[in-house]
Amino acid sequence: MRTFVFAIALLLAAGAASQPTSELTGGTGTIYVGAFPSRVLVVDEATEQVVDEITMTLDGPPSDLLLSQDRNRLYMRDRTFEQIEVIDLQTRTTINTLTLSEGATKVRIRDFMVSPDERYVVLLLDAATKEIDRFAIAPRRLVQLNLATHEIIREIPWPDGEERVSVNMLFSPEGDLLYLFGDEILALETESFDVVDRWELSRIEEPGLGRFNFGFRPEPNEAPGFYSGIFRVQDPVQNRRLMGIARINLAEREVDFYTLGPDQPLSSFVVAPGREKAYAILSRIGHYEFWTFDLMGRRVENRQVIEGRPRMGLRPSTNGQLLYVHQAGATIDLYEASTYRHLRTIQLAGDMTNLLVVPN
Amino acid sequence: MKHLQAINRKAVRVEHAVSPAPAPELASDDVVALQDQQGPPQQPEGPHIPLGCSLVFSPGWEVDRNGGTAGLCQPVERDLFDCHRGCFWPAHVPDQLNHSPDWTSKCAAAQKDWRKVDLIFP
Repeated sequence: MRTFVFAIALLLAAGAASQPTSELTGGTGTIYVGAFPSRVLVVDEATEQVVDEITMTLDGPPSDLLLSQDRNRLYMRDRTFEQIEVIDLQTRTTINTLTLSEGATKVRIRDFMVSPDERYVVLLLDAATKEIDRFAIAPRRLVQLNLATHEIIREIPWPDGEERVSVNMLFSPEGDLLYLFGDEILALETESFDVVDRWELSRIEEPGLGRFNFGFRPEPNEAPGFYSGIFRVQDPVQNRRLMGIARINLAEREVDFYTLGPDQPLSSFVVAPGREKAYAILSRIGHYEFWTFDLMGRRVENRQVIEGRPRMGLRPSTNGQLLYVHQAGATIDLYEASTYRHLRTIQLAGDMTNLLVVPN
Repeated sequence: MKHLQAINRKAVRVEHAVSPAPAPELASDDVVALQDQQGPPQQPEGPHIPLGCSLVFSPGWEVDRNGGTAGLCQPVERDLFDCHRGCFWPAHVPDQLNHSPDWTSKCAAAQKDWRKVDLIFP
């Protein structure tokens, strides 16, 4: 009898612990989705409904959606990579477009980064001029362009005179430094764009570790100036690759890292609101897993096989309760972050390009 | 009979690339068996990707990086716009950058409306 009562109590407790799927929501933020053919869909996170549709004035789909630091504007490239469009999120209208193409010269914007004060944008450009018998291709160049007047303020000389085909760049939170990431991290002051500092992060000073590989990308739930992500390093003693989590303070050149174990094909590492947990997706052909990292405990908290698909992107909800699986297609799959239960799917009217989850 | 003959330098390079590698000369060492093979014997051969397939397998269009189809987007229409936009398959889909900007104008969600995608003729 006592065992029977205990079993009933356990069942009741389990039922209370797992909330009905309909009660779990992602928070009160807004999800902006760049979508085909030429629009940005505005999804209310609480109701999971598309509440608005911002049509681009340029030919889409929107590419490389970038949220301004004050979260009031969206910057994006158009289909041709020749133009940038700026959308004001308060009025949900286009407030600016710019291009450098003119006549027979097509100038394609290969990458861009807007300054934190939104006075200017740094562009990676290449130009092709159609002449009577050939195309004249100009070398790639980095320019600083005034967003209000659309005039090139200056051409930023390549550090060490080494032209780059691509460049990963980020501004410091105050905008006084522009970081260029490559074999080493270069810090350029933003008055005349001279190199003021170098940091060869790959040669992190740790005995017994090989080259330190880390990719810098903005993480919305991280503190300004901090970058968290998975790093990979070669263990020369055991002849194996290890992976771990690193948190880097770029301004102070401080690296806090710890290894977790053998390297795994993890991608879409994201930090949850509150910075106590992080999530990632393990993706192999025919085998997909969610991973949860306990950042405080410096360990893998949970991992579980899921019925996934190739090309999944991951973002946590604004309240951290849900995980949004997006990318490649017109669906956003909602999963409960703590149990990895698939809850439901948001069906969009167009295939997506980028997705931004913005707290209100 | 060999019907094709390389007449420019690029064609000669293609011939050299597809011709079988000459057998390595055997050394005088006594470890002959291992030297005959291309690496450790227990390693499986890589997938044979026929010419004409996309050479980018992220995750792939005709085949995935293992030479199969399990790694392709599911359904494959999920990949139609996204991988094209990143210029992964420049020869497999119309050139939306220069010549066919409107080929997706009637179809926003490829998985649902792929039948409405325009046919483009050169």
